[in-house]
Amino acid sequence: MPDPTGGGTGTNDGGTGTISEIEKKDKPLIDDETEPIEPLEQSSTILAERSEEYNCDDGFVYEQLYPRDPNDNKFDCSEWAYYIIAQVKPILAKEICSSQKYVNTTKFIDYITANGGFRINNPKVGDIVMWTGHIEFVTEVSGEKFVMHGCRSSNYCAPSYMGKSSNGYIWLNTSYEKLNEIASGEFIGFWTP
Amino acid sequence: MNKTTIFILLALFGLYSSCSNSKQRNYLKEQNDLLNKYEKLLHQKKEFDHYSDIIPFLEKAMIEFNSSDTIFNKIKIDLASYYVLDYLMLGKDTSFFKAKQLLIEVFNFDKNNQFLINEFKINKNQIDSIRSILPDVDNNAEGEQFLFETLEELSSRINIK
Repeated sequence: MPDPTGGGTGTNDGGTGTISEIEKKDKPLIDDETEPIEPLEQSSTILAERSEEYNCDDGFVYEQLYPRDPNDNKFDCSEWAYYIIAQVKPILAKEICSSQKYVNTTKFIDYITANGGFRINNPKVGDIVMWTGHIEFVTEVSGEKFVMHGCRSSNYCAPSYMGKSSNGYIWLNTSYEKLNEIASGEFIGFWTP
Repeated sequence: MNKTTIFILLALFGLYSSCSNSKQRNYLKEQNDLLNKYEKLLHQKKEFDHYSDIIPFLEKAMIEFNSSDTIFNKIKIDLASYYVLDYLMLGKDTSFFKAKQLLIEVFNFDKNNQFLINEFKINKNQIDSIRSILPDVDNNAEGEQFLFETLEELSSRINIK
């Protein structure tokens, strides 16, 4: 049974970053606008390396992530987002999930709506960026242009970036008319945890 | 010219006018039907949740509307904007060049610029600028920016009247 803090896995080599290292960081991904959000990137690296190893029966996922299906050890977008938040803001994670042992986009939307609500522009690094059926994190900002990171498959979580081309052109913009059409559901906006 | 000849000529003229008017009416009706069908198509498009579903929808629509130059070219602009999005999302080079090709086709069709000026309300200087850059656009950072921003601007001007 893997250690909930990241111990006992092949990735806990201290070199690439572990969950326990992430937890030690005082600066959460969400609040810092000037630095790259290392915890997020480290978490996604760990996740990518360990996704095949997760077993919901081992307690780690079940207790901390509450996936929709205990027999499904792969994340969808909201489960992955919840996983990231649980590493850097565990209290917030518990508030979002409340007492129920699952998480979905509706839970995020309800929580955010009750806690300041969404804004449709002025993205900040670390923001949650939300659609009615999808969630990601803002990882890079240039004015109203932004790059985000998230899971875009309900069958298999392969966190990846969106908003910046392989040539370095940032194309995602808060004024982009097709925002509704790039993810599941309608674009709702940003929220700074 | 006797009365009979004059009568026959008048009859033939009447027949010609009637046919001509009928053809004109049919043409206008056909165009009107196409416009209504196009407006319906734009509404249907809004019901799609994801751009990847919109692309085949517009590809099919382009074939259906090829009898109307205006609608045909508007759909080309719209579809091109989704191709470039597909390129940016998935890095598919073929989508980038499909977008470029559709935009070139529209500009080639509109040699006198009237379609773009009337339907998209862009001025001749803007058209000339796009026309001069477009052939050399490649899938590098500059090319992406040009194609994405040009198509975003043009597609945002496709409105339901």
